[in-house]
Amino acid sequence: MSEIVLKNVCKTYDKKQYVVKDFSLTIEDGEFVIFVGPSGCGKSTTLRMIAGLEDISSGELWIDGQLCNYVEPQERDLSMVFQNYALYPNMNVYDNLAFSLQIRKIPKHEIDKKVHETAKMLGIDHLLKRRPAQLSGGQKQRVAIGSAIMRKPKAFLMDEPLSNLDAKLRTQMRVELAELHKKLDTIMIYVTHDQTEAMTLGTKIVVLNGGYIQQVARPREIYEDPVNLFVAGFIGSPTMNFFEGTIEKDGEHTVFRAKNGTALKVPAARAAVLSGYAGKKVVMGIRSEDFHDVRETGADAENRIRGRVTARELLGAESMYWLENGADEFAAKLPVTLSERVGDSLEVAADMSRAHFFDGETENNIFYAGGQQ
Amino acid sequence: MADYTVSISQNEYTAAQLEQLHTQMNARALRRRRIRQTVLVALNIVMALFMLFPLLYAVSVSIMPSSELFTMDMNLIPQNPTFENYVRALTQVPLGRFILNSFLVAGTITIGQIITCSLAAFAFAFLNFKGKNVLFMLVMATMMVPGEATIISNYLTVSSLGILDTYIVLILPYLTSAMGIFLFRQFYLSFPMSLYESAKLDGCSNLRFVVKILIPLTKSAIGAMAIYTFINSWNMYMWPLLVTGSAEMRTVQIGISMLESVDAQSITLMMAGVVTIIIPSMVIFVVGQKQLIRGMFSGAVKG
Amino acid sequence: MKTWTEKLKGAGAYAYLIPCFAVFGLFLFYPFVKTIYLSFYKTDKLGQAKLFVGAENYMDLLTSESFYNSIVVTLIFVVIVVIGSMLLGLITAVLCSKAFPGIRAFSTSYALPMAIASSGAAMIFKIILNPTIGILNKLLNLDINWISDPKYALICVAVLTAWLNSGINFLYFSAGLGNIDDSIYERASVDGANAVQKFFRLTLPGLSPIMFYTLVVNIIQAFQSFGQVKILTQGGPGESTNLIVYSIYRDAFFNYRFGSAAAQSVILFLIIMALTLVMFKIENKGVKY
Repeated sequence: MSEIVLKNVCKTYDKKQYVVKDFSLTIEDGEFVIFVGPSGCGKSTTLRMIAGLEDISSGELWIDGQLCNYVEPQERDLSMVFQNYALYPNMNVYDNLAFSLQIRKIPKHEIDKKVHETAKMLGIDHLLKRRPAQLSGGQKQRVAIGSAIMRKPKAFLMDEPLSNLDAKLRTQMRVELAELHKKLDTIMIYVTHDQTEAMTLGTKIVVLNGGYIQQVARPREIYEDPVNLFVAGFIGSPTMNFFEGTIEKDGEHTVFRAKNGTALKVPAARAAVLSGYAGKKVVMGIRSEDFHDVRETGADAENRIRGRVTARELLGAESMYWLENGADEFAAKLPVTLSERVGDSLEVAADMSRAHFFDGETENNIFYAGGQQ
Repeated sequence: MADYTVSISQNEYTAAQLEQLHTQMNARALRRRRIRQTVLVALNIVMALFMLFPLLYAVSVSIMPSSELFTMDMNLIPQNPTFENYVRALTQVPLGRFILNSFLVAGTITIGQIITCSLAAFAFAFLNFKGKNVLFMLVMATMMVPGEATIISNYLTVSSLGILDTYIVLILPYLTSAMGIFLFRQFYLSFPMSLYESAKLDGCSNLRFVVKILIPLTKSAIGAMAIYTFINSWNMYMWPLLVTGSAEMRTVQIGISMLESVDAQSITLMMAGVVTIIIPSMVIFVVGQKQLIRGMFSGAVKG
Repeated sequence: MKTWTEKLKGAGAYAYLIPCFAVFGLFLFYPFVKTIYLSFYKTDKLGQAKLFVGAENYMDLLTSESFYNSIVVTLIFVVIVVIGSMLLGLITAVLCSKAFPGIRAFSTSYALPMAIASSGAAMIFKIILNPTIGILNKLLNLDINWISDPKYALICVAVLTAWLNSGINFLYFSAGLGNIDDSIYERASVDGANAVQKFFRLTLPGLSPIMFYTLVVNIIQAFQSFGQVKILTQGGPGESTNLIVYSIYRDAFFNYRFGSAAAQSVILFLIIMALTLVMFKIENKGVKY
């Protein structure tokens, strides 16, 4: 039973600019936590503080109820996979795997057994005699992961471990990592800038920006209920479509008026709150899959928005249409059967029940439920 | 972990306790860092003094009146420092002439090596011709032949040519170097062939390509090579010893031994001479060290 | 027609090689062959080959106690110099591997010996080692005649040479240390390794590629030491510092036995070539990375 608690952890080099500010998080046993955010958001720094590779400027780090701020990395009983794998170039795969056990003076035959077990599990048992320089990227990756799981540490830390792999391998390793986590049932803290990885791997996602935690939630929640404009824009591919506009009264309806003049009816349940934003700048966000073909049965007859097709990507069963209407650009995922081509005008129906509204000033999600949905 | 006795357990502490712990531990970390840094600097000072000891001692003796040297007492640092030794060293033997000779010889060798090595390296890197690989191997093989293995025949050659005791004989045998060719070629190979091809398409002649494009692009290699060659030529000993006879042709390394033989009291004089001739090569080394390292290690070792 | 121009172009390439091969030819290839040739002859005082004696020069050498002594002395000398200069280079490079205030001045000091001439350095050591006024005896409170005692003379010349050669070793090892990826030290920390384990399991093996290269360069360089012997000991006392290169010099230019000196040159060349080849063979067997 392990637990990692970070309490108001900060990192600063000059006491003025903070790389990480007031990072508070409780990680429970068996969780797969993802730190995700753009580069420079402080995610790797936080991970390195947990590992002990960076000093904690202020705040506390508790591992299993013990204050670990001042414990050397050697004593923390964690293991880590580095972005560049950090394999020991002078040792063969066997020794790379065995290293952490060898320095703990574990009996040779035990190490031997464990190395073969781990190598077999990761499918690298035929590579044991090779040196890192003779391995492919994917093989190096497996060795790095293998060395990390040789011991049973309190937590596994992974710093962008898949970012040096090609797309196909990345997908494959993602699946394997998820399985591995299930098998090991130990805390994993995983840093990535790739929101797809975050969404597919994590049981808990921590979105960071500019050194601050933006939101901590399960993947589905982050996707459905982003706390602010940043999270909404960062999570999901393609990026959520944003329309700047205003809230107006249109007869008995409350509508969102986009910059090009299109009026979109706000769902009745949200009308009351949004009326309060009349005259203020509001940003409406809607994901590409929440646009529908107007001919589709059940498509919203009233809330439609028109644009000129600037690009069209075939996704397989569906097509991604990139539209532009003079004021806004947006993407819509529509059936592949549509005949519109680049340059054509196309009207799409917006599912307003799934639209998000953000305060134009604070950029916060006006209807953020915070897990209480 | 016994070191961390001030431990407190989660959920059972007061803010004051925590604050105290942080201050205590931060102070300890700071202290430890300071100690580590101090130890490192101290070790370095000891080591540097050890490594520089011969030089520092030479400087010290060179400004010592000879009466101070000839005592049984400890005399690391002169009590009455004087520059008289330098003045006498410069007047007693033609040290100025030696320095001029050495500058002339080392300078010409340096420039000559850069020219011949650039040209050869260009051919090896960019041109195709019959026997290219064999010739390159031949150049590389010369690195294995110690200069001492050929020096006797070389001496016999130059003496039969009747050019003993001239600048030419000091310079000529060193006008090219396998290491230089190797270093430049290594640098040139890092440029794409298309660099050469596009210059050719623009109507650039081979020689023009070397002078206008390759040489400017390989400044760092040339710098490294120049410093290395100059220092080595300045420090050359065996060859000048064999082929120079008259005082006018001596280089510094041979010339200073003239100071040695004058009389026993002249040790301080000799040290002044030694320091004087070390200074040029040392200054060039200190000024060019960065260049030397960049040129030698970015091209040759990694490549 | 085309083949003609092609050929002409090809010939142009050789023009770029003429300057360097002219020098190599006159002062390396030709004398190299000439040395081998001379080694089979007895010569007159001007170095003219006078009498073909076959392998006699070699036979004389191989049966000469003096030559055996030279070889043994040279080998001992090379071992001391190589170990000494590599250790100095390694220690200084490790001391300068982490940033600290003043690191530039220190690294310049450590590399500085490479700028110093063997002759100048030998003169300085001559004073330091002087039995009456020398600072070494004063500092150590000893009364040893360093240079004229056969027990110490060789060590003195070797230490001087090790010091001279340590500068470039510092640069090699510093470059080697710089090439070791920092993140493997971080991983080792997390894996639980302490500083000593990191040094012996990561740093030293991490230096091994450059270590090999440095070793070869150092051995070759040590074999060629001359100026320090000439100035400090002249091969003596007795023949205790009569290194091969000095022995060649003495045979040729004092005894005018050019044939014998040439034979020694050939043997020196063979030793160096054999050592180089053996070491490259060893390296090729080891796994590269």
